[in-house]
Amino acid sequence: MTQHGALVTLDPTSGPLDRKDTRKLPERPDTLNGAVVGFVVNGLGKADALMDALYEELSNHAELAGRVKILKDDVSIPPKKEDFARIVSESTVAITGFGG
Amino acid sequence: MRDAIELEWAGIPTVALIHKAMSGSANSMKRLSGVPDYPYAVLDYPHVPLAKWDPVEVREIARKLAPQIIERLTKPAGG
Amino acid sequence: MTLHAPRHQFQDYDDFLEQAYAKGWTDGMPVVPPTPDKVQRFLDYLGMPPGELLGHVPTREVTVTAEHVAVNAVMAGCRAEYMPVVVAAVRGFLEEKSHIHSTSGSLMGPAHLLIVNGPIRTELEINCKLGVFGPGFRANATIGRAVRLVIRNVMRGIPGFLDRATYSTPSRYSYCIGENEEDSPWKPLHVERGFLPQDSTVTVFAVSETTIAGDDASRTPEGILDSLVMYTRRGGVTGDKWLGDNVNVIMVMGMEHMRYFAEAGWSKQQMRDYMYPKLKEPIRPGEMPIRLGKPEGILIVAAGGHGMADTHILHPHLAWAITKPVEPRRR
Repeated sequence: MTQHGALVTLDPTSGPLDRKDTRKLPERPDTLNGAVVGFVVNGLGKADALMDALYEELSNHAELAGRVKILKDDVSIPPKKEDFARIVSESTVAITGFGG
Repeated sequence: MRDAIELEWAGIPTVALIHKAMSGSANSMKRLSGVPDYPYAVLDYPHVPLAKWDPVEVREIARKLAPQIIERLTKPAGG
Repeated sequence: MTLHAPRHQFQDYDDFLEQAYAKGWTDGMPVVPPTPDKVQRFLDYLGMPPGELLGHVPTREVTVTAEHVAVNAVMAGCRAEYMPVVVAAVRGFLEEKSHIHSTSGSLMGPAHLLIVNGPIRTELEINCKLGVFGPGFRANATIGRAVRLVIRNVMRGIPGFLDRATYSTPSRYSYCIGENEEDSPWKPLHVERGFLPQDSTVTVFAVSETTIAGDDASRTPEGILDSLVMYTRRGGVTGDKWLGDNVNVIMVMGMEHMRYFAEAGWSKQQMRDYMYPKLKEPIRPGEMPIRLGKPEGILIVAAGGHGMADTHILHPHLAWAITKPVEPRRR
């Protein structure tokens, strides 16, 4: 459509790549002493073994109170709703991975 | 990355473990999710991406990542 | 029916094209200006309102509308008549088990294949014969490209942003074929998947790699299928718990191989039943896992020309093959 020598077109994207989320991140504990660590394992390579090793390693730094570990059914999908809820209800802090 | 952000929104302090080779997509997900400054723990070479490690390397990686994980899951010392 | 997309003004076509490159709207090739008039014409052809929802990519905060698809189809060089096929394909890729977040972001860089079946194939002159995967055919080239531009511009599958393909592939410019139903001795793909012969459909599939299974020595169905089994086992069929038993591998068979099955009266189902147990035998050195859950996971498609005694084996990425109907125009 040419108007007054100009070509007008529509934007082909679904909007800017950057958005702003104003939700505040939860407050961190002072230490991991007494923490239950939630592990969200994406299943890539040795991610599961790494999470186990991390729990052992973190236990050398703090008196952990336990762990909750869930395994995703596919690297690129969110955890199952019930697994996600379990991490939220039973963990103090959480670790996800391994990947991008 | 998105799993960690969703857990944060649900109230759980979380850290995502990301290989340096994947930091581009991790950063893109942070931008799209509206939390561009959200920190994560980074694993660098010589450890390869895609988590194909032997048991000895797994333990070594755990030792390397632990300080970053503790830093991102707890309040800054004295803060 | 008001168009919703923001408008941009340019001095002329050259200015538009340079800006389109600068803004990252193209796949590296020139694009057609998506003027409001032309986009409206594409939507009018469908009889679809601009805001009609085609699906979501929740992990990416993305909602895909008919207008998004129309804008990108114009840019890709489509005719308005191609829109029903493009819309069906986009709907297919937005199905949960198409797993677009994975297939458009993965390091492996899978390509997004469309297989068109039914009468619309001939109406739109979608090539299904000689040179089927290659350039030179407007409908194939621009329909496949339109889907890729939607993945790029709307679903954020931008190389270096969420598209992290280590090497990627030229199939990602455009990857659209028809099934050669006329020369095939078999039921077409869409009929096997529950549609009527007179229906038009698009089957979408994420292809991680292609093995060209050449066998110009075999003269029997069994001999050719043994070759296909051997080549398929080398490249593997990926899958995981979430995808379950419904993963697919697609075998695109051209005229030279196909005629042996026609002469012997083999159906696609007989071919599957012959190959499946051989594919599921324990893995041997140099082979990859085969995560097929049932014989029906093997999809056989007739396409390609005369000459090479090859079948193209399309190995999956982490997604199902999804078949969607091409909906008739609404007016």
